Amino acid sequence: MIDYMSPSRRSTQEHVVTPPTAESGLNHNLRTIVRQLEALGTGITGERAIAILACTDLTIDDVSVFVAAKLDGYSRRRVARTEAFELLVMTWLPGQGSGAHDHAGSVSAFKILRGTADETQYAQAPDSLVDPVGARQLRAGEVGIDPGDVIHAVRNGHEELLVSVHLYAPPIRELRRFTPRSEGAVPAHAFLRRREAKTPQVAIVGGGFSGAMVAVQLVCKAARSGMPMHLVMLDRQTSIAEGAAYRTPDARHLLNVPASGMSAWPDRADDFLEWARQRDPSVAPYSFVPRRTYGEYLRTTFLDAIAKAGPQVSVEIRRVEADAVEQRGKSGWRVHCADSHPIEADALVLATGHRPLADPLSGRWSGSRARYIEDPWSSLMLTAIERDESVCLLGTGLTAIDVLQSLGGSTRSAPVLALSRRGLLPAAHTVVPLPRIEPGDWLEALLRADSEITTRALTRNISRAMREADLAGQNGQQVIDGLRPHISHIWRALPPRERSRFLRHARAFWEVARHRMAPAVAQEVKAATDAGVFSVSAARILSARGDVDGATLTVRRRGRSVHESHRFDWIINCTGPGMGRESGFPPSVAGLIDAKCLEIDPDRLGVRSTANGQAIVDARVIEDLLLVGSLRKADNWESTAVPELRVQAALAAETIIELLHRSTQSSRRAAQMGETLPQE
Amino acid sequence: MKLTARSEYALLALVHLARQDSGEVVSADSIARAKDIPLKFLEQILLTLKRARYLRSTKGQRGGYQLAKPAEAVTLAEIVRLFDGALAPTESTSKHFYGPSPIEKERRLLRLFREIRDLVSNRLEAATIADML
Repeated sequence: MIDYMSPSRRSTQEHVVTPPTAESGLNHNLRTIVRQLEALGTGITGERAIAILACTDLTIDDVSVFVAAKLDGYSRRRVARTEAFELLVMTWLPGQGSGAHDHAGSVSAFKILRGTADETQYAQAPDSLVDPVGARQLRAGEVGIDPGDVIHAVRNGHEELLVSVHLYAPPIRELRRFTPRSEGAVPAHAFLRRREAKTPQVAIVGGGFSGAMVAVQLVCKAARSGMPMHLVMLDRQTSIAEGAAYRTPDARHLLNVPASGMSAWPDRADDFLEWARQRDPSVAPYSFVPRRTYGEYLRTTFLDAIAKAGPQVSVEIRRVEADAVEQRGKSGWRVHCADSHPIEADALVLATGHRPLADPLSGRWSGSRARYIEDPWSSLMLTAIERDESVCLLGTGLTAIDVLQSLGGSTRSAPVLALSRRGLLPAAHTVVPLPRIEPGDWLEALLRADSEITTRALTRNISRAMREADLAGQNGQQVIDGLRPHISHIWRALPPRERSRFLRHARAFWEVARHRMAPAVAQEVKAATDAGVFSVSAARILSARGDVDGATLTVRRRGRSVHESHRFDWIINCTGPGMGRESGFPPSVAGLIDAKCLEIDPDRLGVRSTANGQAIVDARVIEDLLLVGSLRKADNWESTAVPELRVQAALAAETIIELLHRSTQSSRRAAQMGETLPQE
Repeated sequence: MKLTARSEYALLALVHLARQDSGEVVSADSIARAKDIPLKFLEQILLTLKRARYLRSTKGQRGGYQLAKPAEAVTLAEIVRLFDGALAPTESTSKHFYGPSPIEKERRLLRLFREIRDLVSNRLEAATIADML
């Protein structure tokens, strides 16, 4: 068996406590705290947590082995973790802070051991931004408590080092970030207005790029037409518009499309480029900007548009997931959400974004899952990994690359191994933009052929064109880029069985060629590889067995019959958004599929839709049910990138405005007829 | 294609530097005065050109910029693309910065705008900084 665990881990368990028995490495005071917490089981309340922290005479000396200042942000070192609680020591250099966040329902108690902490408390406003509502300072020796629903930020605004010990019960699985409002700004009126009776109501399920831009387009078009409207946006995330794609706070995570291609508007090609340049004049059309910057652009675009909404428009954001949706008689929808009364919608938009992550080890994992991170975007989980701990990434795509960067890349001392069936890494964008190579006559011949287009013929021709480009001193990527305008035609021309064949045999190759790393990211990956820290292997995972210190994977490498076992400190699922048969749909979508209000395609890529995004079931168009984004992959293949989504959002909004206009006129006519009929 | 002031100032700066004697270092301030370019704006442009390896810089009191490539090796097309992106009139006709756009639905419209793109692109790719001296 190959043991990837770091040498220090094999010999001692210094920093990681294996509850409830292994407390070696902790001094008396810390041991006492851990034992008291363990004794409470799942009954840790705020008061009990405060009592334990206050009564134990914990000092800076007790936690010295866990104090570790980092230059790139405050550090978190784990003292102990069970199913019921997690105890951490945090070190904050002067100027370091946490940003506004909550604890996702976990009780939080903390004690300051050295220095002074400045805490700001916030409340969330109707527009999803947060406003400060209080502040306090906590000094050495003081304890504090935050019930699960408090939003706060902690900062070391002083010259002395700040060290604090924190208890969370249960352990926080996800650090939910909030965006503070700029000083002097106020929520747009549209968020503060109540819906007028009989005002048409549109429900948008999903608050990422797609949902936010549908809302933006609706508000703009409603302003032009004078259409009254109440929009309800449903998303359980804390900050609207960013979505999973652009929520990452890590500045190392870059867009994989140049700035010139990322406008949120179909009719303003340079909108993002100009917005980014106002903040950083060095941004160029071919710059690959941090994704968090793009998230800020989307949020700003959304809020600015809502601020310009006419007085007849009102907007409501609900931080809930849509649990179920049912049709409401002849038209309209009823959307059910937890902890909330149902929403009666005259039109419904499903913009649910990426599907839930697939579990690549389903049915093959035994033992503890303590060292298995199922969702790397639950941001707290990655911070628990030390640089001298070995990691196995399941997947070798863009998610794996993001995680490699978050783990420190070439600065790590322990290895990172990425595994996937084919061991393919994403291609890298060229350092300067290259012209695309238009497909030759072969494509027209394939699409025009009397016989059906096959995946084999398609891939053979693409491969040949890429070889020819390489031989001519060009780059195979230029061939892939040249296909981009034709992808929708090709996909529609592929018969169903050929689509399935493409998904089984060619998709992996297409994905790495089409969705590339930014040049700077590719350089970091190379540096990590050259440093011997990062490697990739094509292998199938046969089984996994975990314990509280790590996990052992049994794999079979591609082309070999021998089974190998490898042990790692951590396993991270980097297979990315689910697709096809590997992944389910969100509850709202799954329910509509079951109720036959949505029709799924044979490969389960998504659901059927018209050219402007209306749902189709058995060739029947459902006019008031609109789809935007990855749900439309069934008929469009390219349905996840900004250039396509911005058009879909505009079309969906246009369709809804027309629908509501017709409905309003129809109601007026009916009312008039009612007035002119002779009374009995 | 729509040139912004960035591209225009960049071209002015490059032509100015190309006119200097070989090896001569020119300060940003000197270029700004000679070409009437706002200094802060120019500094950003020169930094972008340096990062893209069109210019070399030296620090210090006599510091400044000089061309890192021969003037005849720098086309106007690549400078415009660096600062303003596509030379094409629509995203869908751009070779370097493709994006879908509505005219793709009509082949003849698309063909016409491609011809316009080719005219502009060919002309700017055939013109170098040296040609502007």
